[in-house]
Amino acid sequence: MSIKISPLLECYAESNTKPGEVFGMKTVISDVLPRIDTQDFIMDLSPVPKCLVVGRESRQWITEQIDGELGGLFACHLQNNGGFISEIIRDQFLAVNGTNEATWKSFAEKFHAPDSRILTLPYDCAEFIVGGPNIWNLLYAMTSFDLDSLKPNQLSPMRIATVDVYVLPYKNMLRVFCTPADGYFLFNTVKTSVISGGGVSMGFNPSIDSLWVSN
Amino acid sequence: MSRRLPPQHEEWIDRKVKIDFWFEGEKFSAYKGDVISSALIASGQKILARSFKYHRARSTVSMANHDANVILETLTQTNIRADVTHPVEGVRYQAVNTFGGLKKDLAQILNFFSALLPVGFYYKAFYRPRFLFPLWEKLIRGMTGLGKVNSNTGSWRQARKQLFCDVLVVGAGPSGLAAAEYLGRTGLKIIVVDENDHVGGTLGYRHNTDQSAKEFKDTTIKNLANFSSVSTLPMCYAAGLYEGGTVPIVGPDGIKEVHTKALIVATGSYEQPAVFRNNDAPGIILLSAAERLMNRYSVLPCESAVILAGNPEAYERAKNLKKIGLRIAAIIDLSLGPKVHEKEIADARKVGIKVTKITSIEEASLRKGTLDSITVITEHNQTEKIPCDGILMSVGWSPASSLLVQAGAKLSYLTSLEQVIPDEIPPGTYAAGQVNGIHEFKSKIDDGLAAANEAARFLGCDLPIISRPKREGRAHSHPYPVSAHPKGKEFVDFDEDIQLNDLRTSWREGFNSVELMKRYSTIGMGPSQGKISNMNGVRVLADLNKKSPGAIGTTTPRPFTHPVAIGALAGQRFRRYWRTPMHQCHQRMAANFEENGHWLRPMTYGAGSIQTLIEKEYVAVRDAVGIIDVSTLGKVELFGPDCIKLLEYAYTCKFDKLRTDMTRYIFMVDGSGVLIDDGVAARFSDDHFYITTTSSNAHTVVKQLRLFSDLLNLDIAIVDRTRQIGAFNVAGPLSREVLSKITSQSLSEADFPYLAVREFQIANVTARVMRVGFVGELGYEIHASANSAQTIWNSLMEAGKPLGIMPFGVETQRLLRLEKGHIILGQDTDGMTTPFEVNLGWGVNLKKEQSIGKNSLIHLKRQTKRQLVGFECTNTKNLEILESNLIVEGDRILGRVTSVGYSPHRKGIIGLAMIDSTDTSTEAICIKDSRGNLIDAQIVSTPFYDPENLRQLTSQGSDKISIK
Repeated sequence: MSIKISPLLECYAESNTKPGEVFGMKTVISDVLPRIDTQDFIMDLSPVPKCLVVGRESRQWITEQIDGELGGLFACHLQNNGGFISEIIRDQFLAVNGTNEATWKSFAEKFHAPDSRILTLPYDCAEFIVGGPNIWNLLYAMTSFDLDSLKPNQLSPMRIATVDVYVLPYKNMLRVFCTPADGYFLFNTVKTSVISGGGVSMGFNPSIDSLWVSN
Repeated sequence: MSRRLPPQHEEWIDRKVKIDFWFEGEKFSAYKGDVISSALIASGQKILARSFKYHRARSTVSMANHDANVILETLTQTNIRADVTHPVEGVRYQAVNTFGGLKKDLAQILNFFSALLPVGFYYKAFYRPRFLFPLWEKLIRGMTGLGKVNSNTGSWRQARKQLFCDVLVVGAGPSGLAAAEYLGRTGLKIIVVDENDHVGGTLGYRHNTDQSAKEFKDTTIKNLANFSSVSTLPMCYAAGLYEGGTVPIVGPDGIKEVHTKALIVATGSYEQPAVFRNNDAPGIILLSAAERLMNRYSVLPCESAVILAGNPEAYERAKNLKKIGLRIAAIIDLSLGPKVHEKEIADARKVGIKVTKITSIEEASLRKGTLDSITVITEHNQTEKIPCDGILMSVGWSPASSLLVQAGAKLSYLTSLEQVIPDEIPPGTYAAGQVNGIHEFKSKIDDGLAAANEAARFLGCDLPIISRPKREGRAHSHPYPVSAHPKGKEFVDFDEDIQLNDLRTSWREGFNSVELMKRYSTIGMGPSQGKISNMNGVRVLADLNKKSPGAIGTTTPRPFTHPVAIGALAGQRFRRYWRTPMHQCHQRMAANFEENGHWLRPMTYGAGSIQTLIEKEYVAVRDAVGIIDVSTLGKVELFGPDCIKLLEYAYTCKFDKLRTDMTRYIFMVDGSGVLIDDGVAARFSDDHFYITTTSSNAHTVVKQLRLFSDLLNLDIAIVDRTRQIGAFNVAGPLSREVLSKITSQSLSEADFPYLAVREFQIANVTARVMRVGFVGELGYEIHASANSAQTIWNSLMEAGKPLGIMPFGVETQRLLRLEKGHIILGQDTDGMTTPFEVNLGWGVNLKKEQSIGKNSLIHLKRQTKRQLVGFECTNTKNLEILESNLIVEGDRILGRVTSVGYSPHRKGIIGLAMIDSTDTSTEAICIKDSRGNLIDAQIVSTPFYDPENLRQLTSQGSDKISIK
């Protein structure tokens, strides 16, 4: 039995999804990838493992674990497994795994190894991705943030439908991170807008990261 | 009789698509692209509306959104402006503000009593005899208002969108288009808005005979379409200008809030009517209205027109309309001086148009309520009557300058133009074209280019300067297009039926400034917001005061430029709420939810009266085991060498003696020593703590901790985990037994004593467990990651089923904690409560070097003025004591009840009350309940339940509670 349940699981009733388990989390799965050039979509990414590395030495500690230098606040250091690491508050780093389960073990080993210099905490959140040709237009009905100012490889804190979120843009796509408590409301609000505009709601597909890797 | 012209080059109608609709019970036809007014006028309909006060026959005046003469309603909608609204197939429209229909409006009779209803009549009449006033009030209220709202149709909302750009160009006429094209070449992000269905403005109906104007329009529109950084929004108007460069653009699909760095206002001007007797009659319209009717909709405004000229452009415009079918009986020129318009007059006469110079207009004569002729006084002082069914007025302009004034511009009167122009426009905002007093076509384009150039340079583009064209030296507005008549009915404001005499009356009664006259007479306060009345009002007031219009000034235009529907303003509703991780579990158990701040929390579970549900849950907790979702608590992780420093500064107690893997109760005060929050602190190591806060203060406490950390320059990471962790409290004598079924952790007293904290696996989920409780029973507060918490909850429910486990809600928790004497901050405390007033003095350590509020607490300790006490009423019959009921002694108020409830354990009413401390020696108090009854209560010590704390410490204690 899965011990984790996606906070967005309840939002799905679509026929193009089936129940499944990813990264030890109960969610819904889709076998197909979205056609981002022609159709808007929304997809639950909550199962993707995340953790928070905290402490004054967290930057140095993380640098020792990875290849390369970390950027400034909100800059995303891309990992080989398709994930990224970003400082979201001073001395607090969000580490997000790639969407492929095969890379999970090494991620967990790396970031959950005990070390007194830092504190590693699980970062439970609701995450989803929206994308498609019309997505910016839809989002402009829910935010007063200038979406044109979003930069690739940079997390941006903002508000969507009054909910505090972090977002990460890719071409024609936006990854959205919010707390589990906000997830149900926010996902349903965005999903309603996507579907009323002719888009689709999809379950998790581990190959989704091929879309932003290629973009 | 159809007034439809043959197809015009720039017409907006699609003759292939017909639309049938109903107006006042009669069927009419329109083409796609028609507006309701154009379709009605095309069909020969003359009277389209009734005026507000006197119910006089009215028709369109501007054929734009500049007047509100023709307002219609349907069964489901009201405030339909017929001049700018397309008819919908099959819809039945009717005029507002009629009693018995448009043709037989019973209220027409008011026109004959107009002498009794001058401006401000309600200040002077109808209040004596006083007993009749309610009748008059009801009658007058029944007569007022425009249209009815059908509340059965249901509310509607339109999503509000946000748009961002470098330059917003408002108005897509010649100067706006020129500006937009220029800016499009710079690569700046541009948004162009225009209130009309199609862009072009006067290019489509005034300059359309000019070949260069046609080429300009076609080329510019084509170029704009090719610029990817330029978006054009037709059918949208700018409703106002707000701080930070925010302009709400209102269109058919709702409001778009445009955030712009620079603004170009190319909104043109409102053509102004002349004031003369019966100038409000159907058939008397602005010349621009005729131009719009004929060019956009291919509709003749009348059979035989008299052009009233007060400016030079009237002639060219009249000739253009003659070319496309307008029969002109005469041009009557109101201009002063023999040489004025000499060339224009000669040119008009050359093409066979009769031109008569006049000094004034005597009146427009009506037959069966519509225009029949106009009588004028010629320059030779002769009376001339000219038969006509249309008077087309071209006497002047008033700039559509609202946005400029809202940006901070001033309006100055230019005598050479006889017109107001914007002045002292702040940087970042630019006027272009006719709004800027530029009337000549080529100059409008040049002015647009110059404005765009200024905007681009303001935004940092390195461009050579383009100079502004000079304004012409000749007037385009008549200085005083007003002809008085002894019998009155010279209307200055059509919306409010305000006549010339009304303004004179206002002036005579001392309302002689533009602001006072506006408010007394209500000129400009109707739905058209003074667009075609304010300027004439200023001219009249100037004349009365014997001053220039510039000396009189204007009133201040504020948003909105046109009325905006409330559904558009409301926008999409985002009513955010937070769900705990166990929300689905609660739903399955038929929880009764309520909103606590943003959180949805179960109050009770199941169906039945609230008292029955509480009793059931209470017994479960006291006798067996209950479980409550406390995920709403604030949760903060602290990591770093300065954890203790921060905690000792922020909270009242000392932390250095708190052992690892133990917890303690903590509370926080503000700088004045007032309690603001409480919670529990758990210590994992010297540099790792975990604290909880109250649900409503989580955000505030995190903010405070971060502030203190910065102020004191501490080495500490503060992580707000409130909405990432699920938490619940398992409480009751059997709680240990239930928990032990799903964990291998030892829960013995020795291994897990009271106030300890441990991390271990529960149902294969890593959790933090604190042996604390709020309800006075053996209990465990379990914290786990939000996405895993449900697994633990479900496992506990499964494990506890044989033992009678039951979820309990907030209502039951309130009662349980009340029996235990535990306070709830914000309920048992107020904005002045100190720790000493609520028996928390033991938790205040005043020996610390520094802590927030310490100095105040030292002082307050010596001067405690109130005390929170427990009370009990054993006589419970018909008692209705509520929180906030007063504690009284005779006429004196001694305090108030803060918490109250029926205690099954004590079999009576118990409660907490805050009373003056000087009275705590008494053993009894008197409560004034909500019905005014005085109830005696005994002061008792708390806790009411298990005073020795045996239940919480050892799961031993008193016998089971029985509930009657």
